[in-house]
Amino acid sequence: MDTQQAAPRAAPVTIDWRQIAGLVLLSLKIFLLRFLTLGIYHFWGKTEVRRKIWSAVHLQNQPLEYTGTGKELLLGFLIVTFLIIIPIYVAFVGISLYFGEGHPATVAVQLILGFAIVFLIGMAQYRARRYRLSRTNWRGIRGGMSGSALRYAWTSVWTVLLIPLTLGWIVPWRSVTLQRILTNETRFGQMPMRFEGDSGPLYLPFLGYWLGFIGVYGLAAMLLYQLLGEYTFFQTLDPAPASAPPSLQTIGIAVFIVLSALLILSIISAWYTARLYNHFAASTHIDHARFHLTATPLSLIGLTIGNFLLSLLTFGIATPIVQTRLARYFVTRLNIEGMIDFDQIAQSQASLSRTGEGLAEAFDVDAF
Amino acid sequence: MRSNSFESFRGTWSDGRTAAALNVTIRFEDNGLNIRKTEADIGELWPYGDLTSVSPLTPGRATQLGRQDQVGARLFIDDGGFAEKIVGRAPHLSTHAERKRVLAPMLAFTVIVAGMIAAIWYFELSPARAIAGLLPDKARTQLGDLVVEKMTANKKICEAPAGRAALDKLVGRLKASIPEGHRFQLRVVDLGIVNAFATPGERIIVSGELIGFTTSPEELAGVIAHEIGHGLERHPETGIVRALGIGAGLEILLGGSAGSFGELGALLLQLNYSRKAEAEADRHAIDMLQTANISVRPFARFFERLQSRKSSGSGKNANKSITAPPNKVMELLRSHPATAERIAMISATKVVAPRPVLNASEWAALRDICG
Repeated sequence: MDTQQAAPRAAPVTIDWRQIAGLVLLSLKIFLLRFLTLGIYHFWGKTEVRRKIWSAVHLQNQPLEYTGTGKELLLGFLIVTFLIIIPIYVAFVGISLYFGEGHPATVAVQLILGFAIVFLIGMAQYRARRYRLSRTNWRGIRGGMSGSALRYAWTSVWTVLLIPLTLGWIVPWRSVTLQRILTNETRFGQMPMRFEGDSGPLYLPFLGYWLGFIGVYGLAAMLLYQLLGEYTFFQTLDPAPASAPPSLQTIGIAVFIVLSALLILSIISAWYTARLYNHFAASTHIDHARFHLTATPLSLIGLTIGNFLLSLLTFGIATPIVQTRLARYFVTRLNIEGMIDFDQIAQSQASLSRTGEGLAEAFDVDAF
Repeated sequence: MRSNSFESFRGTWSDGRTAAALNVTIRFEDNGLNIRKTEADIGELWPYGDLTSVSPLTPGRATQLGRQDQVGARLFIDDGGFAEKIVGRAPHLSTHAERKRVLAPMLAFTVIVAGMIAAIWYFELSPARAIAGLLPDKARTQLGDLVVEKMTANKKICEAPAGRAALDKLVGRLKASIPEGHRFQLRVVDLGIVNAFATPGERIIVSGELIGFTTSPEELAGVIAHEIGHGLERHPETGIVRALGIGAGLEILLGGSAGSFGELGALLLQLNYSRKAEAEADRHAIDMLQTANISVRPFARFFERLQSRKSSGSGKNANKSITAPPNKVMELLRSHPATAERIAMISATKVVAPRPVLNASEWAALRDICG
């Protein structure tokens, strides 16, 4: 008893994934019930899947718990649909009916609504994260977000405007800035996470990504133009082009060029994305510990293609399996280095909202 | 670890105030779980009825329990045998109980949604019609212009002066019975199919082929009066609002982008008015024809001819007196089904002292409107 008390209180941390059973049956059940309940079961099904995924993640051999409910998700969805989505839709349609398409007033209002949507997507990402963290328990201690969704959404909007102006070069800085806000405002109980790092180390990989992208894109466009000439771009305005249409063989070569370009681009993109995720993890600290992720380009591509095919071939019925695979990928490749003093992590004092992440659902920015 | 009298399990306990965990021994007692931090401890009792679990308990899997009156307190037992034992004592944590809990709100929501759909269908409520009725005239006109523009792009507009004058005379006869405040505009367009339709904003488009298909000015007057009837009832506006609403609904439910303004024209062509809407338009048409002293018989015959074209099947054996090939007529038939009830209703109407709409030369000019 006494020796137990005297032992060093900070402990090394283990995080692992324990396989979950019954996902195929769960997928079928959710599909069937959604059908029978005119779609309403969607929110309860989502909750069931999250409970499974959360319970597979073990910290110190004790699982996470997901305490959200289907009712919260449904309420969030209804509120967002009726207070945000439908008014925006009506404004969008109404303005062009009233002034006519192409009228300056129509263009102005639709531009403003466009930015409002980018802003709302930022809000949605932040609020969804807050909701999920507040419904995540470990040893009874809740997570949370301490800041404001408005600041995050605003940062997301003005940095998005700079992407074309900087020819994309703001992208690494933007990702890190947004991730820094999310990480620094994340709480486990009352213990904050810290983002310690900047976008510097990402710029060399980004140079490769940027040059590779331009190079492959340019080369593919050049080859296609050589091959197809004026057919490269769809000429809807001129129904009768001068030369004869391309032969089947030429079309075959063109398709091959496009597919190879897409393959190379996705490898380049995965290579950068893996660096980005690993950098995010390495910059994330809590107490005396930091995260370490080993995402690799090839495994990321495999995961993405596998999940894409799984969704496509099952018409979305396998979504629970897709989401589980995604979560498993990150958890099995994640390590926590250093020590955490769990006795010092006090329960969160934040109050719990009554509604779920409707906004994220509406804009389809929720991964799980 | 297991004794004969009390079966005991190893687990960890957290108090919900910090993330610390203590190793504990858990025993099943009559009215609850006894949790001891040391052998000497007399233990804390967690009554079975107060136990909570985030997920329903599955025998063979690890168990994590909470307690109703202690927020965040947790008991974690990795031993799969524990779940099997506890489910018997705390049946409210079983999969079966969870199912029952979810079933109630699920049934309630499903019944509410199904009830709403049934009510709309049964009482013939039309939210789309209510919204269409609220559209300001300016918006209806804009919408109409948009549709007309899309429909007539690259199509020939028929405006031979003599034909136009005859058409204006025909419409003038009908206008006498249209309530004040309506400004219907009619346009003849070479659409390539036999058809006539009303767009929002009180625009009516009649195809040159339809004029060729009619055999008398009275038939044409009937068709135009019918389309004016649709316009008076705001059927085109209602159809577009409904389609946009369904599009928005699908977009919200399924994600992705369904339908856009570019499709409006095509949308209107595909609109199938309900039987009720067709009957409403017919009633207006009959009223208009009666007030204008135009014979109704030809209008009924028009539908009879459509009907017989349909039953005569493919184009090869088609009656040569009818200029339009049947496949061009099918489009009109699809959007305006020539049912027996319609023909009967129109035929039953008596018109007092009918007067001809156009004389022979005017009618010839009108038939030549497309040049």
